[in-house]
Amino acid sequence: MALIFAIGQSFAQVFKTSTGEVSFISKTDFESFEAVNNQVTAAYSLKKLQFRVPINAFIFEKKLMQTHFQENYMESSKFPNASFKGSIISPEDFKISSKEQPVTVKGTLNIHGVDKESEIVGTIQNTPDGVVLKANFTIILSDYQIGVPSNLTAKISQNIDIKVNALLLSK
Amino acid sequence: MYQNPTELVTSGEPDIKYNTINELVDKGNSEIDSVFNANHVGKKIQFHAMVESTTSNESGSTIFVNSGSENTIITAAFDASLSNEVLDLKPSTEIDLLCVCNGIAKPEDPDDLLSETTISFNRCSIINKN
Repeated sequence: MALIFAIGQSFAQVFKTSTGEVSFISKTDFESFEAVNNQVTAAYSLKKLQFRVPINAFIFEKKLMQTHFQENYMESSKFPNASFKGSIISPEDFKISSKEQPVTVKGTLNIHGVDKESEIVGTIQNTPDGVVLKANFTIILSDYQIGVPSNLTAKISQNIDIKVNALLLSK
Repeated sequence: MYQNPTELVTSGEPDIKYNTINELVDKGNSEIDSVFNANHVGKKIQFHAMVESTTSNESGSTIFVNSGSENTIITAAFDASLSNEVLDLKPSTEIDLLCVCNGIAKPEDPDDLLSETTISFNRCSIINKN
């Protein structure tokens, strides 16, 4: 039985990308901004998901904001990647299909060197182009020990909206 | 407060120059992540490479560089204004790139789905092509 399971695991289809997209959006009454990163690596196989997000690949409209984000808030030289590693927990009997299905993924989100157990709701769909993963969720900067100077708290939200959109190809 | 325009394409003198892709890959493989990243992240890196493939979307384009190793993925991202130039590149074209390094990421566990080492660059410019 164990052998059959091991063989099944070794032939499990893996879907991957190195050009997934993650955006984050900060909205306050005084200023709103969005940064986009299209160099996200991601993999999906057998209900398991993994993401790596290079922090320096977030592109801002304003260079100075990008520099502050990378060097001061995210300390990207010290913590160059955010990551997520988890498994689909809902629906329990999840099987990937051509229908866009809502799923809940439970795992560890690491940002700024801080691990946090997280449940993220998103969708998975098997399309003719590949597997499409989408998610929208919110993180709280203080959960990840990301400090914002007091003179900027009115301009940078503590609650950052994250959008994930990735097309993964069979490898 | 934030008024400066974004520098979308890297220019000027490199902080580090690699004459072959093997030099870069060897450096990445031989050093632990934190050491490589401390010396490369945010720095201007010039390197010689061979195009494996290209892709683009609304926000820009990407060259997948032939790393010479199945276990290493190297990506170089470009601003959307350079997409035509990037998409014109044929596989096996040799290029010199000047980019800002995003860093290296290696598999953390034997059971990682992301089993490859990735080195990524952004805000790249093509400074030479053959």
